[in-house]
Amino acid sequence: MRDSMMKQVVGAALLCCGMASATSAADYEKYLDLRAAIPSDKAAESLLTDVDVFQNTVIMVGDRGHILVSSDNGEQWTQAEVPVQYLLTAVDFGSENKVWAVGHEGVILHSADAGKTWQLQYANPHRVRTDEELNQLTDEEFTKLPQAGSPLLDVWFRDELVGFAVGAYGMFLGTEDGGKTWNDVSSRIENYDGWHLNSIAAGEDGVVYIAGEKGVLFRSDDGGENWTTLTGPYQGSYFGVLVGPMPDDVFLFGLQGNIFKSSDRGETWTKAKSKASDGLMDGVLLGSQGVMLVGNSGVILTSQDGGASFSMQITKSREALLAIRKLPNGKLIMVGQGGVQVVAPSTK
Amino acid sequence: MSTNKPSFLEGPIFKLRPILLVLFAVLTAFFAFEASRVKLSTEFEKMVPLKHEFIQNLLKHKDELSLGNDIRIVVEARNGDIFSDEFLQVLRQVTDEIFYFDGVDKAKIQSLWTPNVRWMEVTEDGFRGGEIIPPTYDGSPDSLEQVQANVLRSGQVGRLVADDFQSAIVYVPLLDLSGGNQKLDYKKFSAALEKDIREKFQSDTINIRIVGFAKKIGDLIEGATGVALFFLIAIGITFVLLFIDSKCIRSTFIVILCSVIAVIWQVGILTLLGKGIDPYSMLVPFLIFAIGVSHGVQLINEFAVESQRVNMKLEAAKLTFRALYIPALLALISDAIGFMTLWTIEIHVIQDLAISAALGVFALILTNLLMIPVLLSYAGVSKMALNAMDKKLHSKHVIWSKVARFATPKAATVSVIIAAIGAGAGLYISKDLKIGDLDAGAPELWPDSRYNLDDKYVNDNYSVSADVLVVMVETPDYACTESAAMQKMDRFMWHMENVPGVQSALSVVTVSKRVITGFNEGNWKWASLTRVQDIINNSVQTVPAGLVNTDCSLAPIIVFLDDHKAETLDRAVAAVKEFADAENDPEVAEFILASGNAGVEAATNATIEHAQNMMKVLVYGVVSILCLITFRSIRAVICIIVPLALTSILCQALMTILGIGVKVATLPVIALGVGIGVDYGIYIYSRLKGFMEDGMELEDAYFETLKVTGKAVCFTGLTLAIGVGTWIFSDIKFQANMGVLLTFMFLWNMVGAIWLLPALANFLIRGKIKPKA
Repeated sequence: MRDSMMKQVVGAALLCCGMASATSAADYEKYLDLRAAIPSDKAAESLLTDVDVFQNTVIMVGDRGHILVSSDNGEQWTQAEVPVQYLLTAVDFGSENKVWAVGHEGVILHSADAGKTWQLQYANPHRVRTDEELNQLTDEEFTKLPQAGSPLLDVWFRDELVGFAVGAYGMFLGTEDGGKTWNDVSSRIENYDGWHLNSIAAGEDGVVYIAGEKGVLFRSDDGGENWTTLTGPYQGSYFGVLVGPMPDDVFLFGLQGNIFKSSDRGETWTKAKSKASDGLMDGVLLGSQGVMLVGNSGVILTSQDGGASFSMQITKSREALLAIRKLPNGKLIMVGQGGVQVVAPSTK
Repeated sequence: MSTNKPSFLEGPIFKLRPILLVLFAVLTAFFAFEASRVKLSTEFEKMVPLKHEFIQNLLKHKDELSLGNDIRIVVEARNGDIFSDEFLQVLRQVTDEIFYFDGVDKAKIQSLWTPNVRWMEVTEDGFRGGEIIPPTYDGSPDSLEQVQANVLRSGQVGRLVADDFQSAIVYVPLLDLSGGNQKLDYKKFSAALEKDIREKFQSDTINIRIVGFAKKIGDLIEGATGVALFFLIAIGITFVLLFIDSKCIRSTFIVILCSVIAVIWQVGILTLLGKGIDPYSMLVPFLIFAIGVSHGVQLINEFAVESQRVNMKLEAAKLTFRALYIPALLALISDAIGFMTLWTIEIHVIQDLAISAALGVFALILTNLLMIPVLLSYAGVSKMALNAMDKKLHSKHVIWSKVARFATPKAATVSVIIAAIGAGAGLYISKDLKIGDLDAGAPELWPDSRYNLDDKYVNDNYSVSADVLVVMVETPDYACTESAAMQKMDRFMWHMENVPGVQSALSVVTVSKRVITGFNEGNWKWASLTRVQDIINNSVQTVPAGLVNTDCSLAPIIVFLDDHKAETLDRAVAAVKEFADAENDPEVAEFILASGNAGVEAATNATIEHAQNMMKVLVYGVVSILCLITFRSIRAVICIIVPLALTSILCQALMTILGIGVKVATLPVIALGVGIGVDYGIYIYSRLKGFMEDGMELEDAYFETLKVTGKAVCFTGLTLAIGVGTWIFSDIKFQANMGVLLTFMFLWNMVGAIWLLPALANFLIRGKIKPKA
């Protein structure tokens, strides 16, 4: 316990410095390619990485700065104005109108109009450094060098103001002012080796999980301030976390079709039965017993028994599926390698 | 006509006729020997516009790009799917069999059975992989299930395995055309594929399909050779018709013989010049034969007429020669010059067509214009023929007297109005005339040919498109995977993918993104081109051959298209140019057009579009000048040329209606049609003028003209049409297109000469030609 107290102190110290370097916009903008995303009819058919739904608004993000918005259950899509062409990897609503998206080169984009227009809030672009510049880096900065240019991989907002973004090489950023300032909060978790953080997800009563490479797994019970390192059931990579249906329930899934379920906030785990052998990327809860997971090679797993066992389907195209959500009309929206598809839920 | 003075040639020719005959016999024997050694040539380079910028760029990089000279053998399970032992055994036998073919790149053959095709998956410890059909395979249900699992995780679905699992491909790269010491013999290779693969393995349960350039060329050669049979059929039909018409076996035989001799000379001279015959110039023997017959008909017709007046064969022959040598010579020379205008189109096969057709026509001047009268001077014509001619000359000519009314002022007015409407409608329709090829699949072959059906099957069931535009990206040496160049390529690819008609684009950038995704545990959120040079370098260590050259100064981008229609090609080419104009930077990367079948076709289309108007101006210009020199009258030129122009316009309208584009095969048709079509006009006009100079009124003069030459003109049209008409049945689509259009042009030119020429004459020369004193 005292150990973790110490870390908080150190973390607070680091936080101040992270703030200073991360918020200087002019500094990173000159290393970014600020070409706006190109409007394209093919945006909805090319790589999409994430989708989020808030009331009637559906937003999905993907390759080349594509952000697509629908207000009619995915029938029609409008491509948003986005200031960059980088691959975006995740999107999350903070409220009805405030939305954040993250992506490669560490970009964080924000929309205050439910996804119509987007502004750049943060970036951590790659830049070529001279030997002299490298020599001036602190050890801390030096170990974080690979982060520059690498992708943020997931984003979660608690409300309009407080949110977190996680990503490659242990990138962990936080904001408390709706993204006006983004701070490096990686010291809040014990990820000294800088493993990729692939997913951040929350339940309803302040519980938040971060899962990543090499089985790293963290939980916060207070909405992201303090974090506990959990001993996961697995040493491979997790690509996703799904909280629910009960407050203490949580699913972990990832490489090689591995699925684990915990009913005690991740203290103990059981492995679910499934035939899947491809990486699983995202999931959605369907009622009190239904769970659907999607992943590489077009794998769709469905459980009717609260996640104890899963049956497997494979899409015809076999293209990777990266995210799945429920639409307001009850249908399911899936996005991935081949774009978007809307399907009726097979769970009765 | 009998008032013509003997030419200075006439005396020597008929005096020396025995020597001439011997000389001709010797020459014919010599040329026949040469002709027997003629080669069929199907060189790729002859069919493309070598001087076009795209092709120049392509040839510059020819040795660095191995651009898919390969074949795909599809083994299809007629019932069930590929996961049965029986199917997999056949697939293995096909893989083994093709291994022993000459000319295949044995190490690079790919099938589910070859060790170079592997499955791979990301595990906690890194990568794991193996052969698709493991060495432990024993045909048991368990091992079949193992194969199925391996196929699924191999990423070969859509490549080596059909999307519906009903078929699998054996992919066979061929050693480069120019790489080995010996060029691949496509004919032999294709025949071997038929015999040792298709015939051997096709069964009630297995279907074999074969696609690829080598197979296409093989089928093309086979189909093209098939038209040789048509030549015999054309000779046969012509012989019968000619005999029915002339009622004289001797003169029929003479005409056919002399025309065949002209073909022998033409092919012989061609071989002497070191040229071969290709599927395009194969038309020439048909043309030469038909032109020979049509002039021969005029000659024996005249001979029969003259024989009515003098009963000496020699005298009749001399008179025949005297009457016809000017119009015949003029007609043949205008044919030859008309053909030579094709020389201006800088595509080898068309230029070869021009030379060989011109050669053939010059041969005809000797073998027909000279030899037929000489032979007739010995052989004469049969009594029956003379009787028939006698009857004809003294008959009432019911038909011709009706036709002659076309020259009356009233009919002429109507005719000219109809012609004007026809021309207007033709022009209106042909504004939709397209450049290039309009059907899917291999444009040389019929859409329902076996090759194109196989090709369609592959297109429908595998994720490969047959229509490929390759853009070459040139960079400084060792810089083709520099971040800056890769970024440009990445943006270029998306630029192209957004062009309507473009399906997707593939390059070293695609590979880099895939590999980076693989490095990151197969997580597609990483499928982006990094700007970190070290990571790029890692990701392109094992790039498939052909996506970068050896010194990394060239990286082709392969753009897959929906089809090869001209609009699709135009759009794609314009999009490349737009990007290149804005972004080309010699320090980083330059985007250069073009290779791939679509690149070659785009270049061909551009060349043809550029050439087609110039060619028309030239051919009409030349023919007009020749007519002007001969008849020394602008009015004569109009009378002769306007019917031809009407035919050309209607021919273009017909092309539009039939969906035939202007392409290598159809462009020569106008030149050939005009060059040969002018003959009718010249024969009719020269007679008409002669009779008017004898003091006849237009209607009477035209009636007399028809009596003497009308039947010969119709017969000419018919023989020409038969000669090329057999081509309609060719297995090769472009040959059939040439056949349709030429048949149309020859028949319509005939109609134009008989119907429109006198109508125009009514307005232009009525009362203008004064009787000679």
